[in-house]
Amino acid sequence: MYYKWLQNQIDYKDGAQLLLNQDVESQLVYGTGRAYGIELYAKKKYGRFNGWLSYTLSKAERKFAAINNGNYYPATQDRTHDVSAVGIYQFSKRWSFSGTFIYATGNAVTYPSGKYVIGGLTTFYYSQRNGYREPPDSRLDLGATLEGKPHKKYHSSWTFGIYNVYDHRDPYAITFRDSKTNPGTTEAVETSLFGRIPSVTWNFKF
Amino acid sequence: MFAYSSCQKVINLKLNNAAAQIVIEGNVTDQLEPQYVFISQSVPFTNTNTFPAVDGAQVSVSDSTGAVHQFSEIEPGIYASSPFKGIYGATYQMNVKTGNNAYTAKSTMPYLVNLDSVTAKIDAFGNSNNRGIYVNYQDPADVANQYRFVLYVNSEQVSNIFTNDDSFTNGRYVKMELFQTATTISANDTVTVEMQCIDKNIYKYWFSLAQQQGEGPGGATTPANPPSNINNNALGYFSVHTTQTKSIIVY
Repeated sequence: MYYKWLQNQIDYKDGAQLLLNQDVESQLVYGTGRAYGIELYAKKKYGRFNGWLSYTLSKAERKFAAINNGNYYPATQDRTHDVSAVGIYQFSKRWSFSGTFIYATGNAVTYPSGKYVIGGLTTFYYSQRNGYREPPDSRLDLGATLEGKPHKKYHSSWTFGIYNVYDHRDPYAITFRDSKTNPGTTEAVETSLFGRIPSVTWNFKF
Repeated sequence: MFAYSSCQKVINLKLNNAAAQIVIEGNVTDQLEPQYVFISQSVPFTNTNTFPAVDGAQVSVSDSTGAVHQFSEIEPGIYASSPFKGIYGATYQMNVKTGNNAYTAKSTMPYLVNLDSVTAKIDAFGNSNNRGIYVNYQDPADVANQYRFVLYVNSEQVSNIFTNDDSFTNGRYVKMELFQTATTISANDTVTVEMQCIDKNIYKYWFSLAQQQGEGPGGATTPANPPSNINNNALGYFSVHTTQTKSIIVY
């Protein structure tokens, strides 16, 4: 369990100009923050099956006079829930299986709460800094390792893995725009990167 | 690489519906013509792009000598004055009253910087059908200047917002590309550019708005409402600016 007071926090001004700016400091604001939470951790060390499980419940907030009307708002990295589990099972002398699961609350982000028109262009209205959440991240990875037959001069093993088994798409970016397919409306577009990725590795030691 | 492994899809997000906000867009130019103020309201994100007009407002613009130009409503939400022109170097105040709410804003007319020419050049990267559009002007050395450009291709406004200031080009001859990827500009297209000299606050307004157009993670800052020069939490701006327009037919 912990509670932290944070001082001299730095963030960008609303509408900061960073590119080709000779004094970037002038685009920063200084404020305070606080972070608190509870962390739980359990580990099984012995036996054919071992692994660990951890859970964190936390809150990280920041406060700047010039942002969000001077009220606390969630830091981008604020994770309300963070779960991770790792398990390894020694099936036989040569085969072992492993799995990793993670789940975490999505990043705190700023999305529009309305829209209006300026000079004929649709413009988005923002009411609160980091007032929304991206969808939660979660992922399951599985692996199997086959140890090579013992040999005097070298040792080798094969590892077969699948990253992101259930092909969960974490958002990399979410953008808002005028709809191209449905003129006169607006839409949110999600860009995601990696889906399910299989892998095969051959390890060699001598 | 990302282009091959990423995927895009339209998603539904639960967005809060903020209460309707007033949006005021006021412009006074250096041309002897009717000047306009537009007043509308914001709508929830999921609505169609129809923005309710605010009618029955009292609108006026006064100058530093105390002369007042009254605006009258010619269409719902559109308020026009009798023809007058903004004087270089003079500061104007816009007054808007709707119901019990009053809004004011001040803006100063900059001195005119001449737009020498608009030129087109074949895109240096990849697409040889596309033309880059350049504006050419002499920046004056004695004052800080801010500019906004509005680009039209075949009479249709390009959605990008173009701004420039002279922090790196003070006193220089400027040749600046109005870089955009929204439209392909090809031979025989008619390209029109409006150049506006704007004051510092209005530059900040358009610059902040332009930053939010950056699509994707590379171009985007944490979005926020652009800093308005209108008080009382109104969205929008009051801009007193020069205007000069040049058209070319792309070769």
